[in-house]
Amino acid sequence: MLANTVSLNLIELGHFCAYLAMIVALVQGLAPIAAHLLKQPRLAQLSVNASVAVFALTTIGGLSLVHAFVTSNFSVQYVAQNSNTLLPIFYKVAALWGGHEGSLYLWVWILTLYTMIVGWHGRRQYPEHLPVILAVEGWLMVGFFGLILFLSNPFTRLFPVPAEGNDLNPLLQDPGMVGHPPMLYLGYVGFSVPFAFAMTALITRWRSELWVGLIRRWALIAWGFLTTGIILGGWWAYYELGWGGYWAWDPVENASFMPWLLGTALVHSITVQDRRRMLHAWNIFLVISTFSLSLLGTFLVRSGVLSSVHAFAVDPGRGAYILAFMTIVLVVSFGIFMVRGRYQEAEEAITSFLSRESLFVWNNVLFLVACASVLLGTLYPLALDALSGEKITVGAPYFNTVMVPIFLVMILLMAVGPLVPWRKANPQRLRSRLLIPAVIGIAVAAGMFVALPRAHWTGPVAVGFALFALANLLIDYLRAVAQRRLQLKENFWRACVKTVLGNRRHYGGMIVHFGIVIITLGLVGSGLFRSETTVTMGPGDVAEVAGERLRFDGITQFHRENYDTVQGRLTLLNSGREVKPERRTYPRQQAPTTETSIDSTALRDVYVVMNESNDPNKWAIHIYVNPLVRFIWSGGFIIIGGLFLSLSGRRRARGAEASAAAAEPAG
Amino acid sequence: MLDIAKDLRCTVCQNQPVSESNADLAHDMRQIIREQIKAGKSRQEIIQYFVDRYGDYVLMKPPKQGPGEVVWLAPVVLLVLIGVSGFLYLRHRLRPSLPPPPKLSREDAARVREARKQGEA
Repeated sequence: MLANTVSLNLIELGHFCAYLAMIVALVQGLAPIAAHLLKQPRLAQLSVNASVAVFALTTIGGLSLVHAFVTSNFSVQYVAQNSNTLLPIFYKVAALWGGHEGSLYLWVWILTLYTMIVGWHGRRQYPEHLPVILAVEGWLMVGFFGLILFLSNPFTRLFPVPAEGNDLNPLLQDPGMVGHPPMLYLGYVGFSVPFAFAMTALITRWRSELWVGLIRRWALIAWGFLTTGIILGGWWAYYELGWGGYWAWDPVENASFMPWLLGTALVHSITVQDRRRMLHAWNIFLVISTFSLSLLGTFLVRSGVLSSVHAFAVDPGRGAYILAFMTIVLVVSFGIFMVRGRYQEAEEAITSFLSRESLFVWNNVLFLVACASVLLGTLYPLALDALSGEKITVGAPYFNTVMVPIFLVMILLMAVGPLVPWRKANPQRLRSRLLIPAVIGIAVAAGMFVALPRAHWTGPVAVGFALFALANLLIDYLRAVAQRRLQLKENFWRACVKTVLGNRRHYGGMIVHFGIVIITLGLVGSGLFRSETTVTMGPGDVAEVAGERLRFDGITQFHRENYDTVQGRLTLLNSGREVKPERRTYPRQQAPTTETSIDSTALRDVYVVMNESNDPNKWAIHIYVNPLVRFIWSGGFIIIGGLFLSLSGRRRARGAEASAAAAEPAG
Repeated sequence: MLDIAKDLRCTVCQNQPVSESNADLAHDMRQIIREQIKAGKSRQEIIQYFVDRYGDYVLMKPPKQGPGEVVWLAPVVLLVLIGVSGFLYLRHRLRPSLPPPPKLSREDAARVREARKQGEA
């Protein structure tokens, strides 16, 4: 009884702290304004202290919710809806972001975390601008706390208290799902930092060369988290959903892909501004748009508008609030941009169309077109349904048709761009450098056309482009290594390492590109060369797909902590290894769920799903053979590695620039 | 069979094609496709059969006329618009628009002529 009272009080304390956090966030947002109006500059410093207090209060609120989940306190409605006593403790904690209310709370907690770090990081480096940056973040917090506390409150109590809670959706009881939402949110919310910097720069007329270098890191960090979140989501969908794929162009996926596309454009164009003092206003536009799409992504997934437009209207308060919040953010930020965007200092001119800065502009054009197309394809059916009641489907085949050609041109640009020097390229020299890689790419593509005449044309073209890019990367790197050995008389391996470490920004980026090449190969392999079949199998039966032979050995039934399962056993006759797909029955869920089993090697995945058949002694076994899926996940790891390398590089100092210039291809 | 089922939407599912759905309806639809293939109908005829019953909603790719036209035209229009803007931006930056030298006033011009004459002399 005593323990119960403690946990009751804890949740009320957490609830109270959340309200307090909203009020302190309001103070954080108002402090610089008050300081300006009252001409008391010291008042602005209040927002720095407030950012720490908001973080502490939000953390207490979050911990009280975690405590409620761990102790299965079903007097909290949100806990009762998303957890039960049988759930392993790991998933009890993760159930915090298993539903609408809790995931918004996680969002705002991450926002307070980032804000506090910015406050700590900026107190020496840019103290005079810091209060305004924190104020912008403060207003965003106020907006989110308003939504959480007044319209979707995770602290709401339930009476009478149910004896047992609902279950967390079985699909979410999975390690992939534990990591996916926080990663995605760390990405979304991470873009709020460049956003706050850009707003501050516009308001305080901060010279762009002073702040663009600062947001580069934040943008890269946010981009890295978003990339990780998206790949983790694909991986989860792949082994959990049981349809053999990892990306369906579902609106929920598109919601995270749109900020990723613009974020990618941003991390490229920031470099141009940093190195060549161009595109000031354009970068601010990109920052605002990327963050707005992050907000849109959160709301699309969290408002229920996607399952049906009408679900949005079921809870009109929430829908209206979200719409109003988005509108205010867009109008205010773009309004300030329109009014103040013109102050931006003069830009440097471009010397030639054939220069790296020019190719960066084309990169931005492509990413923008890609993003706008996805946005339209995702929102248009919703808008059409809402406005005219007419229903159309814009599904995966549409997005593949539209996006694959854009993606191909992006790869081509990625192959050539890093070889083109800033300012002006020497066309002859460039041609001679591209010759060998181009021959390699064309040869491979032609070979594929001949060897696999029935494959879709995009396959050989994509592989040709990807290998062209790969050859360029390698030759460029080896050339830099050779140059270093010539100058410093180092041995080969030492020169290899030192070349990379000497210019981490450049080679970090190149490793990310390498990861993209690997992912491209994986996408082509698994997207175009998948084989599948469904066979009804009893014990002893053998099925064959794409040269893989599988024998069904029988089933075992057993009970686990939070579910019952029927497990099939199949032997891969080529290698002797086993796969064990399952049918699981969770308490509180009617239909059994399928659990796929995958035998994965570097070159192919054998992916097996088991379903009931009409005959009780036989099972419907769905077998996919997916080539090169591992390339996609490996590419993800390579990208993260490259990103860490790039982030570990110090900010560009004068001395570093000289060596960077030496390592970069000279026209 | 799968080729046709991939382009048809399971109308009771969230954004899933018939080929990948486990719903009863998708199961029935696959059955219908199989029967119609056996009956010797073409891909076009089978898809039309479903469109007649479920409307354009059943197509994973929206049709290129009617309300679906927008999504097909938009990427092309966007590419042209954004591409041309990118090109114009680059061309604009390529020749930095230096302000033309200010015109001399009449008196100044006269003084310059005067000075030149003196210089020549």
